[in-house]
Amino acid sequence: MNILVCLKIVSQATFTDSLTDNDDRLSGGKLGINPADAYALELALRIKDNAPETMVTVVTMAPSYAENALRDAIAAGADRAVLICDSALAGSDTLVTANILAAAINRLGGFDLVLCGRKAIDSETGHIAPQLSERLGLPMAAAVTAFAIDGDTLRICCTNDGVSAEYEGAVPAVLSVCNGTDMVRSPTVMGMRRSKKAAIERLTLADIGISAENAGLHGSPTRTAAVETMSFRKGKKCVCTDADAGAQALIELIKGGKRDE
Amino acid sequence: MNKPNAIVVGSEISPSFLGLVRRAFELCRERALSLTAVIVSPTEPADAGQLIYAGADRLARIALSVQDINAPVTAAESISQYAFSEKPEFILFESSSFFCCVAPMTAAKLNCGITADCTALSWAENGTLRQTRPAFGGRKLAHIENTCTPVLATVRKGVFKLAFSENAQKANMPLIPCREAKHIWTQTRVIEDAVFGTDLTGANIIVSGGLGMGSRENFKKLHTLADMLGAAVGASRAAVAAGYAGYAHQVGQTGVSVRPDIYIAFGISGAVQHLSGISGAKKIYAVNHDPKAPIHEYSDFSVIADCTLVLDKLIEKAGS
Repeated sequence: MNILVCLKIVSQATFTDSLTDNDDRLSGGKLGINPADAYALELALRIKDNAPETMVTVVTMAPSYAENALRDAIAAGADRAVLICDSALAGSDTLVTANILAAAINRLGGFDLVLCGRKAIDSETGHIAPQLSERLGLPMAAAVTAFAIDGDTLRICCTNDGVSAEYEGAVPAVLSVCNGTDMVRSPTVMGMRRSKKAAIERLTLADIGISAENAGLHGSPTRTAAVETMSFRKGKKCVCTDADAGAQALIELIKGGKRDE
Repeated sequence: MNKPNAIVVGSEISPSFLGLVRRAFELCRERALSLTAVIVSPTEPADAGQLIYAGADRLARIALSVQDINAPVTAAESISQYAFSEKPEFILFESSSFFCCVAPMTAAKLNCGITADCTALSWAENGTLRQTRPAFGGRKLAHIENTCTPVLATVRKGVFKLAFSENAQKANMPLIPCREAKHIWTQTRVIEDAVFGTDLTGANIIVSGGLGMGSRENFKKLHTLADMLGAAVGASRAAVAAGYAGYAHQVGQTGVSVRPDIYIAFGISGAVQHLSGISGAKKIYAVNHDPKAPIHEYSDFSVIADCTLVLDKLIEKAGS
């Protein structure tokens, strides 16, 4: 079994710093694997726990600085890490990113499963898995919280709009994985040692056969025209310390809708 | 088909979808475009005339079920073929788990740009459709423009709303050609039926519980209150991790971002990840016995008392 996990490397500041922090921190600071992608990797590693011959590859499209985060994936148990890195990639939107990932996946070849996290916590689009399935011509399932492989049979559990259901299909497929509630494993000492020595494979646009004009901002059909920083709402700090009076006040607020404006 | 046109796609006729149709209509009016409203549904909706009232010039239906796990790819095929022949300026999809698959697939087929979860739409000075969307858990607002048409976007549910009209005419919805959904996945088991109170993205009121609820039994009382208020039930990551609620209820950066009129947090301390997901709420009310809980900093009204006690009293008062 050959599993590929697509990772997005995001700034840890995105999900740890206080809400009043300004923009510079959101794109800087320590980098880490996007939580939903880390969960997808965890699910892949669980398959490997039970079937040690399973090969788990991680891939990301990012500048060189993403290398350390890829080493974290190896430390957790991934066998192989690939970095798609090219200066012409800057400004790529989701469609171009999916095109590039699909070309890289075809170039690497031989995967039974391609996993993506449901959404990245910075851009929050969730576009990559559906677009990858389209580009790779593979079936896709979304909101996958667990899966098992038995020969060519793929069993998945999906939770969508409050309904959980199990389905049977076949590999190869693209799965978009939701964060479940289980914990993601920590790296082992052996894993850390291995990750330090591991070679991170690099692919450029030329390697995957995509021309620079079809990549990056230039090749992207969408672009960000402007960005505003929103100040997080501050409360009015009206406080009630009595349970009964508090409940009464809440009922009135709910029934009155926006009356307190 | 004389005028260039635009398409708006949804799965049911609701105030939220009617609002999106109306917004699309306003955009169309500024550019003299005609608007086609498309519904993905196995049966013809009885109140299709509401879409005409909201501003659609033409109606069409794709006979697929949004509940069908095999339907997204077929729906994307059908919509992209329709778009090839109609050459619309833009295609807007109501944001839902179904269309969040269908829309990017359609964009890939049409080789054009797609923006997720917009909260505002307007014509930019350069004549392109400007799509505004929150990112970084609501801390950034990005304005996106496209270099080619059609412009595709999913639009967050409930951003635009339009009430049903009592005077809507009868209308029928001709079918858009569509294959039967290709059988890829076979359902083998349903684990949990859709429970009332999980449509978090479209909810006006959300009652939400955290670890402070103390037990699964206490957490269930939130459902009682939600039923009484017509609210949806949310949960913090900690509450989901403790097994008080399923993942479908999780609000926050690793769950759902919500923007209700009223968000009531019971026993939620207010971790940054949770607060990010509720920053779009118009009002936040917090019930937590800990006066130092960060949620109180951001709430419009706080009750500093035992959250299960306050919940019991609320249920009692809501019932009377």
